[in-house]
Amino acid sequence: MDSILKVTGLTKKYEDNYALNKVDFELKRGEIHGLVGANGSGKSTFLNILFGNSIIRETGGYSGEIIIDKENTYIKDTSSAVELGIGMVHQEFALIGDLNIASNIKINRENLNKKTEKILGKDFARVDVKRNKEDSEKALSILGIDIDPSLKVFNLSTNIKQFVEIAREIDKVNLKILMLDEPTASLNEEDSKLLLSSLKRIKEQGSSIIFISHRLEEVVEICDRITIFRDGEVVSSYSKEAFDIPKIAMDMTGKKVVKTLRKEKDIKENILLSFKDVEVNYGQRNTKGISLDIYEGEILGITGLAGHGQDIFPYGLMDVYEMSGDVRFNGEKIVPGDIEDITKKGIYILPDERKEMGLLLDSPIWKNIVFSSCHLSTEFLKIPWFKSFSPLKSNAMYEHTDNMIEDLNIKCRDKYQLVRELSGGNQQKVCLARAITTKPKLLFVGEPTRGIDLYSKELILDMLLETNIQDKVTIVVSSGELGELKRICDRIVVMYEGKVFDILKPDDSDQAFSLAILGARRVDSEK
Amino acid sequence: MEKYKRYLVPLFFLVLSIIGIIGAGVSMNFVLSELYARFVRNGIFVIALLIPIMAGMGINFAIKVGALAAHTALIIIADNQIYGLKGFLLAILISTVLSVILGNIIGYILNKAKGKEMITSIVIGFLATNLYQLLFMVGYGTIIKAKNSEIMLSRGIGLRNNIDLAEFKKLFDGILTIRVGDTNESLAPVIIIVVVALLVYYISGSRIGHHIKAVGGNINTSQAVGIDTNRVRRIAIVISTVLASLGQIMYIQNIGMLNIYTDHLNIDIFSAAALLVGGATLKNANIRNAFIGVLLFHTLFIVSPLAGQNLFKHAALGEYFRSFLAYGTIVFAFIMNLRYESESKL
Repeated sequence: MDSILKVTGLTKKYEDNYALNKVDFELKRGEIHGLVGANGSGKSTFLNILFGNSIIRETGGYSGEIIIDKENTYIKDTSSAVELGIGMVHQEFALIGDLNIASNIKINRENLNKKTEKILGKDFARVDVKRNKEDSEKALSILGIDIDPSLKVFNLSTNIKQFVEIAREIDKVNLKILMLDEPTASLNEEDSKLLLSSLKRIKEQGSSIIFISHRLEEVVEICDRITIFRDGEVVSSYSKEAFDIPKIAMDMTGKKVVKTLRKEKDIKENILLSFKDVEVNYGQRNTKGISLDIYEGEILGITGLAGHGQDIFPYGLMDVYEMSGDVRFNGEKIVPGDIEDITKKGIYILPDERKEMGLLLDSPIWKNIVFSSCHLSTEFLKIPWFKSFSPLKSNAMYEHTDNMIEDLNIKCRDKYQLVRELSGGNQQKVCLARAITTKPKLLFVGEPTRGIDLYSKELILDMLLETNIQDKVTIVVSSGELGELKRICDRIVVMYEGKVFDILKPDDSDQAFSLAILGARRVDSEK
Repeated sequence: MEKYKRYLVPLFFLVLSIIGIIGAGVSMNFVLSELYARFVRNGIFVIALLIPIMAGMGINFAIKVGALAAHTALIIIADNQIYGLKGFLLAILISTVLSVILGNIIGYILNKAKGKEMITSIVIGFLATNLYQLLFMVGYGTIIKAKNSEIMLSRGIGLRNNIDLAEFKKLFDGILTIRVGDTNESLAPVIIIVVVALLVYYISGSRIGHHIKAVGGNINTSQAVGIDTNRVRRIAIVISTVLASLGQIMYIQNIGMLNIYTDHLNIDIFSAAALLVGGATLKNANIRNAFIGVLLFHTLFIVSPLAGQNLFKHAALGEYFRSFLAYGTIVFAFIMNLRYESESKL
């Protein structure tokens, strides 16, 4: 097999830091090549260079040689990357919600009416909507998706959005290389499987694929070869016969990963927060009669298929969803949506949409970590009596930030680096650091490990357990990663169609969980 | 129910208009003939606002600059005394060329001020007005020599306030005459407006139109899929500026007189208000909004001073109602818009 892409000595510097240092890489025609590495190891930078992302150009370009299809090229921007036959599926969705599926799939490659094109030129030619639709249907059918392409994208569920994005790439006639940056991060297991099998189909059609994922099981399953990145360098590369998950994990981190596991603890049924017969409205959905008790000192997991309401409790309290009914915290009635009162009482909510709701992207790390605490407590205030007008204790804040950066292994230049410049996983850690800094009584966390490498994952899970036991914080984790929930939670709630379907113990069998997630009642002998 | 929510603002103004008509105690015929004139004068401006909104740049208050391009073209025509259809078409040609140049400059500036396009375009409008005044109050007679001395101030420097263009007012007389209210009017200007509307409709369905909507939907994503977003935004502003200059020519043609220093003032505010009355938001606007808006806003504009006079026995109060209406509508629509946006985020 000849190679479609050959990279030699690829180097990228951000100011003084090497994001990539002399990377050599080869992609053979018709293979699926996995890229793995910890957060901030340079995988995303690598893809950004290949796709001509404007960040690369604005920060001084790259050096090194890129040979595509035996031709030496310099990728200067996205459109030249597209011309070279490179397609990319982004980690965060790159879809336009206001447009319909067909327009998203055919964006910048619209079918044009020939006559108007001749008279008015390319820009002002009429778009042939019908042919766009046909092409879209064709691309979607390769992925095994049957959906009307005239639906608007913002109404679609996360998994369908992911497929639309892939359909956009495979619709390109000259597609040679398809790059996917963690396509399965926001999918549940069922959809991940569907996606992986469609990748195999795309490969059979002759495109080569670069695949990034933190789920090593997936990578091992579908890839023909794997290259491992660490700190901007390629550490090792394996082909199919030599795949060995522990060894790959070891190469990624340079350290042995110890899986976190909770210790059995005694939870008294002392209710901290209770929802009784609550009604929730979100989007077009309305669910009545939801009840849930959260006990003091426990870690409660909430799971379920996407769209079945894993996030109604935190979002209801935050007023993202409309929630009404009897909600009591420590026996005291609270109004869902009155976020100021709720945080003052000691409930802190970390939503899963960290970029949109959780972070000040253009502020430095230290500010992100302490800013909630400055509002909520007097810890960092010089003259607490002045409240919001008090000057701040800079030294205490900096020291605290440094500790947090070390404890959570946040990869950054220093505490003054802007959060926008951090990789996804490190941003998540900053979020978590902020939540812990406020010392809440009850902490809601949404998808704490989404898009995070396996080493940092354990750090975060560890941190949650530690906060739970040492600081006596009750934690509610909503996540689709059942395996992780089972390791850290004392009880796991399974949501189905917006309601609490069942509450299981972490040591219940996998089968019991799968049944509950799919909404099948278990036989009530053990209950 | 969700579907009709968008029409809440137009419905509110429809009720206001009806109350206004009753309060003013005027005949429908009077309202209709006034409305015809105002529709012809303002229609294209409102349409000119549509494309920048689609491109996610909000209301382009810099349409004023397009109007100034039209003024410049008409002054050149008047200076050279080219009248009739020939002069009219030449004016359109000159102002279009000027608008393309100016539109590119505005687009370039607005691309430097992403996220703050509206306030920037307001300031650009003010700045352009000042430069324009400098050119015609000081430049004429010193640097530029006028051929037609009638347009000059008697001191020899600067142009007079008014230029008589009665020649143009007669242009459409007798062509496709229809009876509107109490007067006979030509259908030709209305046809021109409809053609412009169709043109904008066509553009929104063209390749550039798709790109404009994509950029308006999400600029970062559009950039990521390889669309030259800066170019698309610049083209949107150029189209808007060119249409605005055409709009101003139609306006002055209908009046038959050019007030050099004042005719362009406020058209941005009034057009924006009209569009918002029609149910447009800062992110979503279509041709239907433009037409409904022009008709409703101007009906109110016609009857509110009269209604004020009748109800409060005071003409000045009615005049006050006009400006209250224009600015009040914009603020009202801003608030409605914010609510709409926060709801659609779910």
